[in-house]
Amino acid sequence: MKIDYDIVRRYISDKTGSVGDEYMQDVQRELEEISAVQKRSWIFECEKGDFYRIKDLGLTIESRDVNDLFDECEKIAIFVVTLGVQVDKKIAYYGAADVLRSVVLDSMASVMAESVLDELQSQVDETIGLNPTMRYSPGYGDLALSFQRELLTALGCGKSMGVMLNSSDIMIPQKSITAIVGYSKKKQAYASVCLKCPNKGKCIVKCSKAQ
Amino acid sequence: MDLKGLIDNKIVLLDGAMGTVLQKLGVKMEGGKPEMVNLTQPEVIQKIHEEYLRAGSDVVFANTFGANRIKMGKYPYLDCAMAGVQCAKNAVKAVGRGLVALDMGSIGELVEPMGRVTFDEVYETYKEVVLAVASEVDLCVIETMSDLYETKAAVLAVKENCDKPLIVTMSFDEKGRTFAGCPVEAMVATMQGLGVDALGLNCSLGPKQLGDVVDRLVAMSELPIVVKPNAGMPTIRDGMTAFDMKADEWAEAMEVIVDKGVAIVGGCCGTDSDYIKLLAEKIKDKKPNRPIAKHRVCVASGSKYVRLDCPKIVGERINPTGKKLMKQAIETEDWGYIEAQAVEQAQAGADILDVNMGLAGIDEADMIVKAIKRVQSVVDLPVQIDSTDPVAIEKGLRYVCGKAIVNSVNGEDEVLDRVLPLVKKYGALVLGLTIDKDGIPKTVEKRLEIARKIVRKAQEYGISNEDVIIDTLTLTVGAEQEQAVNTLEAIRRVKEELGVKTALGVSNISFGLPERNLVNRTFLTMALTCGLDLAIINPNLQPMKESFLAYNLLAGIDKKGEKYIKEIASHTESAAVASGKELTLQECIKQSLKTQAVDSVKAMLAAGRNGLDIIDECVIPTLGEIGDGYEKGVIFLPQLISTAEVASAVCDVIKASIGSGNVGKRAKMILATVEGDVHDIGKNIVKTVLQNYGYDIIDLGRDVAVERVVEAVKRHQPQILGLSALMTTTVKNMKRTIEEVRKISDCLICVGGAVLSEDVAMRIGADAYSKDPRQLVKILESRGL
Repeated sequence: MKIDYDIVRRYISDKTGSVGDEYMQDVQRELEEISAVQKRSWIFECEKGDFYRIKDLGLTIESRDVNDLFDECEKIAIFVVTLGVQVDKKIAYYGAADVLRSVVLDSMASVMAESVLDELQSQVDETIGLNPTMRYSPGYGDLALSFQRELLTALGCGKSMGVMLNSSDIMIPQKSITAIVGYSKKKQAYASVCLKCPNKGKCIVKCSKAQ
Repeated sequence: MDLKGLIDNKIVLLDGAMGTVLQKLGVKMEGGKPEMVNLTQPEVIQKIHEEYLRAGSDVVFANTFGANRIKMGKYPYLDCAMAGVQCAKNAVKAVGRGLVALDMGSIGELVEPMGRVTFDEVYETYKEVVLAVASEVDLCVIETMSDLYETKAAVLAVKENCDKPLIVTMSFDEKGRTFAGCPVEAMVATMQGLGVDALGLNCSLGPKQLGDVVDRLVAMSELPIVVKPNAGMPTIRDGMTAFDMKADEWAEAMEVIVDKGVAIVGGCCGTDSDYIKLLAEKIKDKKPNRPIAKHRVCVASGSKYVRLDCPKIVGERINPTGKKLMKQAIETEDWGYIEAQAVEQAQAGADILDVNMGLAGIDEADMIVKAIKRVQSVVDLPVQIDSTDPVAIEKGLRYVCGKAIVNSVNGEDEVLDRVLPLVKKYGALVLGLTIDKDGIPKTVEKRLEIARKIVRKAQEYGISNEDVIIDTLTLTVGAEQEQAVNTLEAIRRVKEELGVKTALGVSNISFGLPERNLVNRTFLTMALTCGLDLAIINPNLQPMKESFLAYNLLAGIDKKGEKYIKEIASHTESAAVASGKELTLQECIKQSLKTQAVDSVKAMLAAGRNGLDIIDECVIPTLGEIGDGYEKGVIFLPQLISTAEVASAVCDVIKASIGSGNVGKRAKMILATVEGDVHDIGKNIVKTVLQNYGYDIIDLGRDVAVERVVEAVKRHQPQILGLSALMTTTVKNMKRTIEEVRKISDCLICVGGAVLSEDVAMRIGADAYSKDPRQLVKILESRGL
């Protein structure tokens, strides 16, 4: 799998590239060995009242931000991706005696999960054939993190993918992502989304598509 | 006919799904709980059971999968369980045949160490259901499990509270691992040991995806194998989960599975009575598949299986005997140190870790449980429980995850009669020392006699030879030279005559001699040649590891010498780098050259420099320079961490030289990632950096309950408490922690983490906020700490 090491370096604030490619490749080899990637997507028709609603799942997305973002959307796709619990265990393992490797592995796993999702989403984008909004996840903007529990329960992700939540609504395995994307005929402007973000100017990652 | 009778006579047919059938029928389920239907529409449940029985099922699973206090706390879960069993019993009565199983699924919450539910809570949850309804059923089933630790608690709850036969199945992916990372072999080894009656897999995938996994079950299991897969792969159709295999296609695929050697079959999600009926047709003339003994010697953790088919290394470092730093770590419960020892040994190639908490003045049983849990939270290696205290052994056995080794028993009846029943109950291996009340025998024959007795007694307690390991004991060659060959000869004869595995703690041999490594490694090679299976050594000592690798190469165990070449090459490379230009300690730290830095500090100590002076004059100023560079933006986080790790290795050498874990002249600090938060990367970085500045760090880990922080503050009386949180949802727990600590201590409370800022920190009552370890050091220094 292609992993952009520069993004990993950005996550770990390695501006001088002190973590070399060889080290990165070694970590990637290990990451690929231990990860048990699972990815699933679901496509639903949009229904809009005060908020967007996914009738088939009995879910309401109570968020003004999503209302704005999903303006004129006809379909909603939900994505769930996980790298599996072995990755968490390995990060903890290195955390006890090799902190640098633990930090690099942690960041690379985040990048890998995003890459897996990118790939999955591009297939779904093609299937749907409409313009996607940016990906949105529970905990963004005014979409409560607790929505995560509703989402995962409705999709049965605990049983089917092993993606669970702890008492603070943190996903376990930690390297898991849930995301919703709206699809419309309208051309989506990513930059405008970033401009509204409360982290504007402080964000070290930035939505690459916004640049 | 009971379950055993059925297994002996035919391929046993279980039922199909309940939940997806209820969904398909559009039955209203209060709170989305299928078990509530047992109370609201018992006739529907009974009818589904009847259909399965008429289709050919020999056993029906009562609709009790989630009927427990954790999954259904708000609902009358015990009433649901009882009504569920009654529905199944009514169906059996109506049809006139069939057995009823109490069906218990996973509690659906994360269990320690990944989650907060404890082993005991899991146990109590299952126990309550078992006590309430198991007397009414023919057998118990634990199914759809992912976490081996949770499964073990559930099995104990059944085995200790009823005498019904027990089937256990877990959900595996195509690679044969559960979501929690448990491989097929670790499950089989552990469950067989715990004495379940049949085991296998259910749910997760369809029969076509599970062929390889079934092959692995068949290769490993000595118990009847159960396979109860879904009707293929799930898709969502019209808002409902549907499965992609039709009944005929599924039954055909299941026939292939049965022919692999499976004894008990049925269907999970997506199947119904049509599937079961077609499967009944396919298997009706097949002969029963009886399990075959495999004689595999193995140990396991929750995510790793180690077969003892060639020599293995047991890491001996987690033991206070003769190790001042470990002793201190145990006394102060410095789990960070113990975890690091575990990881270092794993990295050095240990296959199994010995855990010994035998220290005067501590509660050994309590500590060994804590130690095993901590060790197993960072490494995936199986554990060897090292104690002579039967209470500690029993607790260790109960709370360890996987199939462990008990180290040790000896030839004394009293010890054997006390410990062997525990070994049997928990399905462990037992290591027997060839010593009895008269001491270590001087002759080979006498040692063999004790070994024979241990093996015989183990058999009497139902422990097979595969689960017995004999240690013929190393004596100091300096004191009793002739005993070295006796020990070796005893290994050879134990292997030859008793056919059991052998173990030896090697390093005692050289006590009091110069060049101990030379003697140790030679003795190790000699012992391996005599048939030693488990070498109990310090794998961090390169000479020992090298000899072990060389032996495996020469004995043809390490095929094509791959391991030898890989490991030896990597070590010689780093040695080559090390032999380059002579650098000062400061330069080594700045350039993150660990080996050179360690060599350099060793040379300085050998030349008579005081360890604490080296820290003050070389380590701290260098870290200061690096910290300044970090602040100015010319040095970045990875360098900050790697230099801190090198400095930490240097400090370890100094600590070992002065025999104290605390080289700090600075304040004591407790660190924790707060309750509910599992992100500890930042906390670990802070720990690594601050330790080198001489702060005495007590790391409580992550997801630390408020009460545990309070307790630790009370006990250790630190001057500083550092709390970390990454999520907005856990900042409230940080606030609670601060409030509670304030009631008992006026220590300086510093906080950090991605969601925090100066402003938030002040609002939740912290004394200081720092964005990174460098800033934290500055804050502490400015306050004279």
